[in-house]
Amino acid sequence: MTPSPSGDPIANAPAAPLLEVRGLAKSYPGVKALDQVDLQVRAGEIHALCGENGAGKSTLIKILGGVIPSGSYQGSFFLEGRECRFRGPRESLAGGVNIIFQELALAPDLSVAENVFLGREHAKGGWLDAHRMEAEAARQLAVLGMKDVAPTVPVRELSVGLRQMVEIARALASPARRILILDEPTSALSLKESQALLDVIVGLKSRGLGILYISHKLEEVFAVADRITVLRNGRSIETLDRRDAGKAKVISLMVGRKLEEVFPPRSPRPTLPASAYAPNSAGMSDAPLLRVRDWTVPSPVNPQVDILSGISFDLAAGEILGLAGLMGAGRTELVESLFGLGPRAVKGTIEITGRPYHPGGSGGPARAIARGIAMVPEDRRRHGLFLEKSIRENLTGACLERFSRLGQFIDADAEADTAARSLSEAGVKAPDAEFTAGFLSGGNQQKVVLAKWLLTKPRILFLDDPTRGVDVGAKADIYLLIQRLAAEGIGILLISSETEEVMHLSHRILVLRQGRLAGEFAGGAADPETILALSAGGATA
Amino acid sequence: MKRTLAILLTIPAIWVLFHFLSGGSVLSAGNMVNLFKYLTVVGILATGMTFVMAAGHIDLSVGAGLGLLGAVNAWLLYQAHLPLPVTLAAGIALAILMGLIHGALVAYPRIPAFIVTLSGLMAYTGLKQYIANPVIPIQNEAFLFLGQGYLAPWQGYACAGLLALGLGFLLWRNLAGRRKHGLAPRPLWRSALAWLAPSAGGLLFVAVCNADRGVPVCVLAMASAAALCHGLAVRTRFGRHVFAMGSNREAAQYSGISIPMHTLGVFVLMGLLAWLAGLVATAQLMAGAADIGDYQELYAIAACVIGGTSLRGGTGNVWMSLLGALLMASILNGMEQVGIPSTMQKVILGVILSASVALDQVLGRKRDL
Repeated sequence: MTPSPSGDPIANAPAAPLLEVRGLAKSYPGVKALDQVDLQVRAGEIHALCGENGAGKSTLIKILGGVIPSGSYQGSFFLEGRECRFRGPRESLAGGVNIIFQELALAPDLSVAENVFLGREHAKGGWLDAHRMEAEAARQLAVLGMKDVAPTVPVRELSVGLRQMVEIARALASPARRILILDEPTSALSLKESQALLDVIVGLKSRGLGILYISHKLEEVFAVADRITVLRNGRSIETLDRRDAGKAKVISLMVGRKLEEVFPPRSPRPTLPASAYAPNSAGMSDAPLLRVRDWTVPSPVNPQVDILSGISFDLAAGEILGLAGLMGAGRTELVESLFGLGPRAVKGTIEITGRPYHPGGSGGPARAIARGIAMVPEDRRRHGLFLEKSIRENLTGACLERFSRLGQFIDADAEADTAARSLSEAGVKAPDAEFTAGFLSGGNQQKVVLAKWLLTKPRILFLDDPTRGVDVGAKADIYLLIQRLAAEGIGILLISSETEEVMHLSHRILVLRQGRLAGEFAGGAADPETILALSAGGATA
Repeated sequence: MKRTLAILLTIPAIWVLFHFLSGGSVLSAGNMVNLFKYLTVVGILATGMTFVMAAGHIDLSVGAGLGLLGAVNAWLLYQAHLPLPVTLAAGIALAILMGLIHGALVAYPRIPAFIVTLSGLMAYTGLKQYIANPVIPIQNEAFLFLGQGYLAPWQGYACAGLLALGLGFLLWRNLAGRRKHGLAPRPLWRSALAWLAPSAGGLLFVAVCNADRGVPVCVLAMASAAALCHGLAVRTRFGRHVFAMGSNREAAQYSGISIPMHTLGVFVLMGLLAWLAGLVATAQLMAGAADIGDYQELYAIAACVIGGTSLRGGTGNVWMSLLGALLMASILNGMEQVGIPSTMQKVILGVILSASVALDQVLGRKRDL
């Protein structure tokens, strides 16, 4: 390996790239996660991978890391010219691929040194050579500028930022290290911690490692990367030299021209004033349906960092308010915290039609539901459905008290009747309401989740990526349903991983960036480039 | 460290408290010997249970298992008339087999250890009741020595001397190793304390035992088993990987650690310790009896928990589990001396177990149960 001087990685690059990816493709039933990815990482370069949510970045990492085993994807990749066929993470690790996952892969009860050498401990005559490992770990930590972390401290006692460093130390102590892949390494870090991490990563270039750096944050990418490859819809679109590429160029490549999907015509914004911050009009009290002021939520993993800070907005009855932003911007955390699922230490005020509302605490979602809030969660299978249960039990799961005598004894007839009606209203394609929910298609499952929440008769509806993993036909149904609900006067907060969806359905769009409100648009007044630029921090509104 | 100190202070406090409550019968050499003899079966089990729990599992079968292994040994000796070495070898083989079955069921079809070992508990209880009915008396002197025997006074002192020498050697190696790798040496007082406290404790223990019948052989067996297991836990790859597996299964897997092999290893180790505990229990009772080992698995788990082992895996220390067992044994012994009926003793023990963990949580120790 020729470590390239920091000056010009391209001119000094060796003939064979350290890592070469050729035509990788991976399909899941109904979804093409990767289509055609080509990529070259050289020794001593930091190669950034950029793409919107769902562009295929995580799938690519999983293939390189052996999590998706050889044989279950198409295409190939090579390390130093030799083809890799990893059947599991062990082989990938032995081949020299070190991945630092978003979810940290450390044993929290073991010490720093023990984690650094986990799986490849030094031993003498069958007994661990703890002193050698402690000394080497200390050296490795010192190289990374962590002189004050004792190698004997349990990892549990370290901050998230320091744990990230331990993972890097671990990768550097690996004898086979060739490629270091960092997947959104700064997503849980404070600004200071992020800066320290980026400094370390830049310092690693001189060691001849190839670094694949994945991040949504364009500032970071432009601060450290030598080259940038843009992924879109599972394809590698283009690889740019950082000095030739502007942020605007990268953003336009990330967004691209998507096939125009069939969106229903935008429904008229209901009796709303020009700005929802102004008093509301006829028939209703002056207070908006939902008023959020200075909403601040600490990170559950790192209490020093706020994942949301100072969020203020109003939601009017009948309004569809889109929440745009990249993954990790805090959109899901915002609706979850408003629904009473966030950490206890939230700050700020909320009013529902003028009356104060405090989510969180012991009441949790029960209080939110009682105040007329419903939430369709992002992860349908984990948080939305009882997969083993019937559609009926799923539908009535959040409003059982309506069919219960003395608060406990379920009136089976009333329940079955309601379930059957709700089923046909939502247009779920299923034999009957006793069908097991887990066997429905994604689109029908999502309709069940929506119908379940509509049975709670909500006034405020949070939709967190309601069309994720749903086929086009069901998408159109869900769009129409969303518009119908808004027309009935429900205030809707809409999150979507597809910017287009937010743009076409929303009356108004809020853009979140790293836990803060970065801007606001009227529906139809923004194009995806502008929204993405604002989300990624490439421009200001 | 804080927990070690707390337990080390609580145990003598319990002795003194009950000594006065009972009118002076706890702190006698005779009672101390009995207390430690009583402790051995649970202590040996807790040693292995620390591994099982550190791996993130649990073993409910070991009480019934030790009863079965003891009963089989008695049966082979007195119904099949086999020589003692053969019966011991057969017992070891059976113990390994039981461990392999548990481990394989946990590792491959991924049946929760709770279910696997609950099944074992039921099956072994039935088997031991079948074999040990009627009770099989044992007269073999060599066999009984393990449960009933005492070291001669000079042998006891020799053991204490060996302990001091061995510890000294380990501490010297530690110092040398740290110097070799350029690590800051541990403060001298800590090394001195780490040598002095156990050495003096051992000597005191031997002196007390020698004032009565001598050091019980079963206590020596328990201490040796614990020393071996402690070394296995903190000084071998196997131990390190077991703790890693219990702390974060995925991280262990991604580090190239074989989860199934280590699961098998942990349950085999537990089986071997159940075998040793079975021998001790059978020899102490001088018979293979149907009720030997009943509920011992629960006491072993409780001992580990009091000693700071998390039910979620990843933590645990063999010596701390032994101290947990000693704490419980001391309370039971004290209540016995005071004359609290055995029915009430169990109630009190249950309350103490929950209270000790609750106290821990309230005092803010980061502890996941």
